[in-house]
Formats: sequence, C-alpha cells, structure tokens
Amino acid sequence: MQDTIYKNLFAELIKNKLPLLRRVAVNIVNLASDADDVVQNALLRAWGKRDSFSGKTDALSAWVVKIVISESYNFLRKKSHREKVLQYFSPETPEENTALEALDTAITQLPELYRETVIVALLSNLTIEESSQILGCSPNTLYQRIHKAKNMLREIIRRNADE
Amino acid sequence: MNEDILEKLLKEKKDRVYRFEQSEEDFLAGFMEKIERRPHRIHFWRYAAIFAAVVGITVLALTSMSGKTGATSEITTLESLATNNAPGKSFDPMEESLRLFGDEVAVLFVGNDLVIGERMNTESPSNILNVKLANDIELKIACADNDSISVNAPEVSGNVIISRSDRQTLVLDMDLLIQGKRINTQIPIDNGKDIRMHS
Repeated sequence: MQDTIYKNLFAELIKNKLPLLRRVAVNIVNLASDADDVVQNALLRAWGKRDSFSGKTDALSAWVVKIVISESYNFLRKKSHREKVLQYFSPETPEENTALEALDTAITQLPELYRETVIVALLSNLTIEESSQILGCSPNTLYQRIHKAKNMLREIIRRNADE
Repeated sequence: MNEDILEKLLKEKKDRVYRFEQSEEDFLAGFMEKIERRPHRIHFWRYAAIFAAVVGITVLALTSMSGKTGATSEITTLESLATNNAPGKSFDPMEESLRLFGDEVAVLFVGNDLVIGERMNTESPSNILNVKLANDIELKIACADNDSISVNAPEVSGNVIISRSDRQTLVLDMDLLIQGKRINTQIPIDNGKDIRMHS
C-alpha cells in the first residue's frame, strides 16, 4: 500500500476513533494529558509497522486499540511509584479514592485477555457488538469473558485487601 | 467484594469525565506532522544498520577479547550486577558507538558484540549501565533517565525500560532474550553502588 493510502486510513481512524482510543488510554493512565501522549505513541508505533497491516479501517482500529493498551501499561511501568501515587492527587482526581485505586490495581493484575476485556468492553462505552469486533471474538464469547473477568477482579481485590 | 459494589465501581470509572486539552483536529494535525518527519528516521535506520556492521567489525578488531568463554554453567539462578560506568579509558567502544550513531539509535553491547536498537527517548544517553548476568554475559546499555529501548537482533531481542525513581536510583525493567536465555526482571540501580540480585 502506498503511504498516501495509509495516511488517509490513519486520518480516518483518528477522526472516527480518537474518543475511543483516548478513553482506553485514560482508563489505564488516569490523566488526560498522559493519555494523549500514549495515544500519539501508539499511533506512531502502528504507523511504523503499517507495512504489516493490510486491512480495512475497522481492523486497523482493533489493532491500534491493542497497541494503545500495551503502550498505556508501558507508560505506567516507566513512571516511578511515587508519580503513580501523585496521579490520584492531581486536579483531575480531586480526592483520593482507594476503592478505585484497588480496582485499577486489580485490572493491572488480570491476565492480558481479561484485562483487554475489561478495558474495552466494560469501560469504553462500546456496545457488546463493537467490543467483540475490536477484541476479535463473538458476542457470546465476550459475555463469557466479561463474566469471568468480573469474578477474577473480585477475587484479586479481596486477595489484595487481605495482604 | 460483592457483585453490586464491583458494578458500582466499574460504572464510576466508566462515567468519569476527562478533559483533553487538544481538540481532535489539533491531535490529527500533530500526528500528521510527526509522520511527515518520520521517513527520514526510516532511511536513517537503513544507514544505521550498515554502520553497525562496519563499526562492529572495527570494534572487534580494536578491542581485545576479554572475559571467560561461554562454557555451559550449572548455575540456574540469575545474578545481576549493575554499576554506572564512568568512562575513562582511552578507547571505549561504547563511547565511540554513541558518537557515531547519535541519539536516535539505542546502543548496547552483549559482551563484545555491538547491537543497535530503537530508543523512544531522543535525549542524549546520560547513563551507561553494566549488567553482568549468569555465565559472565555482560550487557552494556546506553540510555537516558526515562527511556524505552527495543532490540531485535540474533544476540539479544526484547525490551528494556529505564525509569529514574529518584536522584539516587534508576529502575531497569528488562524483558529480553539473550543468547537463548529469557531474562524478565526488574533491577534497582543505586548510583555508584553495586547491586546484586538473585532470582
């Protein structure tokens, strides 16, 4: 594919899917400014590997969503523990919320498949059909994964609270 | 935690409103500007690969072979010894490679083998990290304080993330395959002090 075609694909992706990409990122990194950095880096990473992509816009968005999730967790790993704690006291999160912090920690500890399920299907304002397209599974399979992910979350939160 | 509380938390997180400073148009314009500049970086990679071959041969010819040979070891635990290296030798292959490749390319040495990779941080590398692994494999990495390096070479492949935790401490987060051995670990590095970690 020529670069012009790729540029048009990526421009269309950003115009149509930027709110989703931002939502996915901010659900993980918790700050809008950081989320935009993550989404930019994810798009640049996808652009760098564009030769390996040969599909339509929907498939591109599914692919980029997964890169955004990966970049978001890479971003968190790069930040020091002290900065991560400071995020919860930033102007965008005016008060400490340990319950949400426990949920964030538990999501991080989920296996990758269920982590993606939670972030895309439960936290991103998508329908089940849209989520299943992005995650590459049938809606029925996605319902099962959601159910299992929630069970795992409860167990992880309980276990972390006991420690 | 019961189901209702989890549902409430998930809904609270999902409904949280975030304000993004950039409009979608500005975001798109910023991205397009970055990819316009990007082709130069891709061409640079081709030349960097050629230089790597030339420099690698030069470095091997000029540097005396040192260290033990790679005999099979019965040691199954991983030893990591990390120091900050203060360059002071008359010829330092790492320094020379950094000078040749500049800031955009990640420079690593696995033993005496030069490996180049990709750096996310475009600041000049301010740290040279020496990590001595099991079987006397020595890994040398040039990086900035908060950096992300990815490599894909026969000698070593994977990712290294470097984070400065405070003035005194760097954290090295490695997920690498080095000479067939998988290394997935986090090492805190205290400036000027050796840290040995067993796993």
